[in-house]
Amino acid sequence: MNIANFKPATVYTIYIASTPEKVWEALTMSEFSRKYFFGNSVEIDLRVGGASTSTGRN
Amino acid sequence: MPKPEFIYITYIETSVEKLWHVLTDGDFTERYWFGARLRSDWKVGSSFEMVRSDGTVSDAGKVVECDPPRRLAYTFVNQSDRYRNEFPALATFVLESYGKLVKLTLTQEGFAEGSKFLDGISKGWPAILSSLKSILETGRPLEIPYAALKLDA
Repeated sequence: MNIANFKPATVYTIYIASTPEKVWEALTMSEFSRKYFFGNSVEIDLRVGGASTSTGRN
Repeated sequence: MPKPEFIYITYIETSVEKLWHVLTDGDFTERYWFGARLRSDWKVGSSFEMVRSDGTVSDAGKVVECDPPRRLAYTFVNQSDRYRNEFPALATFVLESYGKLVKLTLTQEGFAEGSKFLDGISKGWPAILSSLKSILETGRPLEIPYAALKLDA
């Protein structure tokens, strides 16, 4: 896929009183994600091609 | 039924009554809406205007629906030359209470073919509604620089 031609089906923008570093942490750290993602734990291998999983509470 | 061209949903820790007030009170909107005061008596069929701090009208339309504190709908279009071939598009706010929070759904529809105004509102609403959410939850609006919107030149 040529990323230049990619047109997303959904776009959502939100402005947050924060810093890019804190938002990055919230998006990538499982302890943080549990607080806002219906209790789900987000695990991301932060490399291009790395795995990403979202695991429920149980 | 055609789909609305724009849809935005946000959850806010507030009550439907407070949110209604913040959406319709000109003194309040001036604080989070890029300085714009909304001016209307909110009767169906009445005029609806967004007024800049210098008193000029930036956007104008009509009230279509007013059912406090659940549903509010009005049309508007920006009055600048850039949009002279366009017409007012219908914005509808639906407020739903879920315990301590409110789900706010905004749709806007009825744009001209290839509308530039649609591009403008699509970038403006997320900023306005983010600032509205902040003012209700923290008491402070967000100071969003106009450049962040990245409007088409």
